[in-house]
Order: sequence, then structure tokens, then C-alpha cells
Amino acid sequence: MIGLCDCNSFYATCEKLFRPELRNKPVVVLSNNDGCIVALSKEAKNLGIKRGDPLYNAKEQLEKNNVEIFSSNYALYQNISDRVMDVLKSLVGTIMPYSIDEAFFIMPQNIDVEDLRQTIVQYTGIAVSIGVARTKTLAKIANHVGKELPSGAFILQEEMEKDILKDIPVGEIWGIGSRRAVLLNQYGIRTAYDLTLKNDIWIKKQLTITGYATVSELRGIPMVNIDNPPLKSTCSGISFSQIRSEYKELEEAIACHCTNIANKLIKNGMNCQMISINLFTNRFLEDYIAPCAVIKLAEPTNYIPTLIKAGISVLKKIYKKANYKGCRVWATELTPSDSRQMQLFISEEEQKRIAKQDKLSLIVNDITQIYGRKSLTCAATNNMTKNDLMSREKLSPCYTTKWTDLPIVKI
Amino acid sequence: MDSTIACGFPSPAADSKENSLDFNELLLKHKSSTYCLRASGRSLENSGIQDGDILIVDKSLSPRNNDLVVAEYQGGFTAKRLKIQGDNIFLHPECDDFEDIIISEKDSFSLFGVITGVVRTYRN
Repeated sequence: MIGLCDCNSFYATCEKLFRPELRNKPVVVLSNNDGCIVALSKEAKNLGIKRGDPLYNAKEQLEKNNVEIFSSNYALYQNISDRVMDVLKSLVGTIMPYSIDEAFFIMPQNIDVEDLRQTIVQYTGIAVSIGVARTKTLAKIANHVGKELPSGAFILQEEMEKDILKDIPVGEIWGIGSRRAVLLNQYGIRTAYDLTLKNDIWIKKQLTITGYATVSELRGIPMVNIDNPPLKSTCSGISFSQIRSEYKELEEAIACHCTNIANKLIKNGMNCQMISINLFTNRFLEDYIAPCAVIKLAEPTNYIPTLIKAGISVLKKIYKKANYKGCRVWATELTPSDSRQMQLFISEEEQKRIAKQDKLSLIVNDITQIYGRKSLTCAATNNMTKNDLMSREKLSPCYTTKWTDLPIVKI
Repeated sequence: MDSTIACGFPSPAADSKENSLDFNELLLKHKSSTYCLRASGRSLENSGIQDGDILIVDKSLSPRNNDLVVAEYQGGFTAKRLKIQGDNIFLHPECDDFEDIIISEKDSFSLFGVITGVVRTYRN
């Protein structure tokens, strides 16, 4: 049987871990740049606050109900996620992480699912729920059921599948989006059980092969593979915490995002050959502009200085003075770094230069992994990182990753 | 990086090479379930824990009588010695100026973890 372990209201739960006074209080977490609400504790959900609500719309309601507001603290969430995954792995063996807060696993036969859940909660301090069933898609459904139970865990046995699937609207099935749900409803298919009754040809025609995989899983036949697809493109960009209009200010920002992109590429073992830059002003104002341009690099690379240089050369082309609200950098035409297609007629010297760059990239990566992103940066970034460009007014301490930020215990 | 070129006699101890002492091995028995917290206050003075010490707290251990523990008590963290006498639970300070905290059923109370070590540095 396949299990799915899912952290409950993960970001909000992380924020509460070292704040016991918030145990039963409503908490929300904001998106990058404090724009909108991305995560809520169950107390906040009960107040009717919705995921995706922009902060300025919800502000009054949040204040009225004394909701604790946090900027997103990914350093904290990633560290806690690693701990939950480690503990789960130590208890069940093989796990297949699916996102920062959920992982599939093969449920060992000799373990009680409620004990498993209890142990994870005790060891990490993070509430999780567990669903177990014949396939990943069914495990997702079992997890939904488990989340509502006091035990937080649910095993969906084969003989119960029919009854449970009759209660699941098609829109709630993992892999069926809201648009497909509307389509299915038009054909009178309302529940997951209805869907399992349709014939394969019809399903393939209406929902394509991915939808067919989902339906097979609902019938108990494992078909969904969650290996991460290779990275096709990557983007870094954000609204600035304040308006930037001078060329120099934008150059810093572009350099930061190019560094961020290079780091993502290095982490994924990829090179890119195309860099696009886009600046934008406030789109609600009359003089809205969003200049944009692309540059093709001579060869695929993830070398930070080359990417920064390329980004800046594009910026020079498109820059004119205006009140910019943000910028974006894209990297496309990605190829694995180990299969670099050399330009034709490349000289031996060039090859040596590239090999040197690769080596330097790895060393820089090692150093920044150990000493932090700011320990070694290109001068063009003015020693800022992507995070400095964002507004994160309500950031919590990095309790588990910085010695200066340890939670305090009164003794 | 290339290391220096050895010349002369090979070290007679080369076969006995062992790794240097690793503080993680000593202090972090259960890495994923251990959190560090900073102590603030004097109530554990006689146990040797001082204001500003870093407490190493393992959540995977089951608390036993006389363990030093971190607990969530009335909406805040506290660290004390745990005393279990029959059905009664006390949080016992290690300092004459403080009184035992007797846990009653209506208190909001839960154990966060067991203190397995303390780190203090004197000169940085």
C-alpha cells in the first residue's frame, strides 16, 4: 500500500512551533514581498480568510481578529521540512517527497499508521496527517479523510473505496483541475466514483492520457509517477520593496536575479543559453511600461559572471528612466551541464577557459552553501540577494538555521 | 587541490588514521528531532545551567523522572527538572528563589523535549 504524509497548514505550523502562545491562535503567512496570503492556520481558515486574498483586502479582518501575520520564512520552512522527511524516512524506509510538505512512501506492513503519525508529530513538533491506499491518487483521498479524523490517519481499504469515492466531488481529485471538473459536471459526472464508471476510450478522449492515469489510479491501478520532470525554464523576479528608477539600482536588482538563476541552474545541473529581462512599472497607472528583451548566449552556461553580464547588457538596451515597480529574469533553452554541446571549431584555450569556469562555479557554490549566500557574491549585486529586494516586514527569526536567532526559553 | 608531495619516510601511523572528534556525534544523537533553544533566567542555576546557555533539546526521547526538560506551560516555554510522583507532575527549579510548579489538569501544559546537553562558550 502507498502512504501519503502531509503536514497540516505547514507554513503556519512552522511559525507556531517556537511560539507556544500562538498554539490556538489564528496565523497567516504572506507570499514573497508580503503581497497576499499563501498559508493559514485552521483558526484563520475558520474566520473565513481565504488563501490568495491580497493583504490589503484582508487587513481589516486580520486586525479585528488579532490574526498573527508572518512574511514567508523559507529558510525555516525548508529546515523543518527536511526534519519531517528525515524522520519519516527513518521510520518507513523509502520515501518520495512530492512537495515541501508532503511525501509518498511505501507503507510497511508491520507498522501501525496511528503510531507512525504520532511518532512524527512527537519527534518534529509538526502536525501531519497520513492516508494509506492502493495508489497515490487514492492515498491523497485517504489523507483528506484522515485529516478530519481525531487520529489524523486513515487507511482506505479496497472494500471501502466505492463508498468513499461516492463522497468525493471530481474537482477534489488530485490531478483533475477545476476546468476539467466543470467539463465532467457537464456530462453529469459529479463524484470520483462516477468517473471510475466511464469507459477508457471516452476518458482518454476527454481527459487525455494524464486524466486516464488518474482514473486508473482511482480504480486501484498505480500509474502516476512523480519523478521530477527536468527543468525546462527558470525565472527569478519580484516587485521591489520600493520604487527603483535609476539605472544603477536596476543593475543591482538584475545582477541579484541573475545570481539567483545561476544558483538554481547549478543546483539542477543545468545550463541555459537564453536570458530574457523584463522591467515593469505600476500597471494601474497611465504611464505603464514593461520593456522586455532577450539575449542569446554564445554557449550554454550557468557561470554567474557570464549570466550577470548578459543580463546587464539586455538591461542597457531596454532601460529608460521610469518608476519601476519590479523586474523579472528568465533563463530558457536549458540543457544538462554534463552534455554541453561545444560550439564548432572551439579552440583548446576556450575549452580550458570553460573548464576553469565550471570549477570556479562549483567552488563558489560550496562556499556559499557553508558560509551563506552573502559570503561570496559578484560586486555587481552590491552584496544583496534576492531576499533584500523583497519587502519582508513580518519575518520571523530563522530559529533552526542561525545561532543568533535561537528561540528563547525562560528558565 | 593538490597536497604537498610526500618525501622521505612514510608515516608509520598512516594506516591508523581516524577522523577527528566530531561534536555533532557527541551532541546530536537524533539530528532531525533535536532543536537548540537559548536559556534566559536563573531558575536552573544549581543544575549548572546559566543565563544565555544553549540548550540541546531532543524531542524523540520519552521524558523520565528527574530529566531536565523544556515544557510549554501556560503559553510559554520553560525549562525545569521534571518530577513525576504517582499521578502528580512537578516542574522543579534548581534555585532557592523559585518555587515548584505543580501541574494541574486545567493548566495548559505539554512537554516539548528532553534537555540532553548544554553548550556555553567563553571567548569567541
